[in-house]
Amino acid sequence: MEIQVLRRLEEKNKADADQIRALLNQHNVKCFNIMGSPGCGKTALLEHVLPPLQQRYRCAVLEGDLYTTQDAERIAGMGTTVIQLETQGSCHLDANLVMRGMQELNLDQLDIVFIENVGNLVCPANFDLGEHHRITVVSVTEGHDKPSKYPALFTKADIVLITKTDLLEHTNFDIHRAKESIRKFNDHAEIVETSIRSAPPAALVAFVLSIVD
Amino acid sequence: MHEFSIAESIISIVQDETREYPGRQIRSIKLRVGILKQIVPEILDTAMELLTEGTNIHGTSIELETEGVEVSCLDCELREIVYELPFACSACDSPRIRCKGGEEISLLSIELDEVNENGDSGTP
Ligand SMILES: Nc1nc2c(ncn2[C@@H]2O[C@H](COP(=O)(O)OP(=O)(O)OP(=O)(O)O)[C@@H](O)[C@H]2O)c(=O)[nH]1
Ligand SMILES: [Mg+2]
Ligand SMILES: [Zn+2]
Repeated sequence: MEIQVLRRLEEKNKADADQIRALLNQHNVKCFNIMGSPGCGKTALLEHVLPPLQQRYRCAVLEGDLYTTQDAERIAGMGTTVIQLETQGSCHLDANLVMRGMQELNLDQLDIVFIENVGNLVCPANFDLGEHHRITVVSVTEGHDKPSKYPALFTKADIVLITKTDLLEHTNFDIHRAKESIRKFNDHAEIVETSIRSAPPAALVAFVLSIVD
Repeated sequence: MHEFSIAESIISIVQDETREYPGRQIRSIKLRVGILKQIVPEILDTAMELLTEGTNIHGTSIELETEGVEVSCLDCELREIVYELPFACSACDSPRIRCKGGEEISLLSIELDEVNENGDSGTP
């Protein structure tokens, strides 16, 4: 016999994510999910956007990491509250794990929570974490074809950062083609070029401020 | 490797939907998968195999129906649905295309044995 079902596989994670969003809204906290491949510069971006944001807003970071606490230590070193979310080898965060992290935070005392997802170009895209906005990061050393090859991470991004542009001359990365590829799957995201060396991520600070101000 | 968490979701929905039919072997599970999910069927099979060991779901076959992406070209009139990641317009080769859909994954139906391992229908 056959049972007709038609249920979305994400339904459970989506329900957990909606609960997180409700909790955040109740406390008037805005949440940003930062995604991108390993080493694309997610933590480096946080290190640069936290100081200006923290002049006016109370920030915390949930650090997704496979096993280590290195990224969490980098963030904690800046005086930011950081909760380590160890995925025990899993390649993405899910809403259930993020909820546990949120419960460790004193949301009454916060305005902004950043989630640094596990470095991965495919899997994190499948998991709504209860964030309000998605930040996707791709570095010039990865090749301009990556948005075409791994579009899922780009479709729901609100801002895409092309990082490490100081290294452009050492690569064959074609910024125009990269942007064109991102546009194929996302015609609304702001796309900005940054480098922690030569063009600090002012656009990301401005983007976050445009949401929380 | 999100195939493992996908397998976990499949198992939990199947258990939920077949609660009324204890002990019946699940024969096949039909899924609709958007191509942007970038699922590797072989890894999903392996994940299902490992995670269902000793249950009535073990040995089930997974049938995948692919959900394509709707492509529209900004430089010509082309509108089409494609089932592989599109890089350029298939008519005029323009890279200026816009893509929609192909992002969902749903469990469509479950096929199970008429009787349980004791040879009866298992229903009260
Ligand atoms: N030249 C250059 N190097 C950068 C830039 N941004 C990050 N890096 C370097 O790239 C390396 C990886 O940066 P991280 O910030 O650790 O990257 P990540 O995305 O957090 O990495 P995971 O969390 O491990 O996935 C570090 O050595 C950074 O210093 C940049 O704009 N220019
Ligand atoms: Mg990091
Ligand atoms: Zn065309």
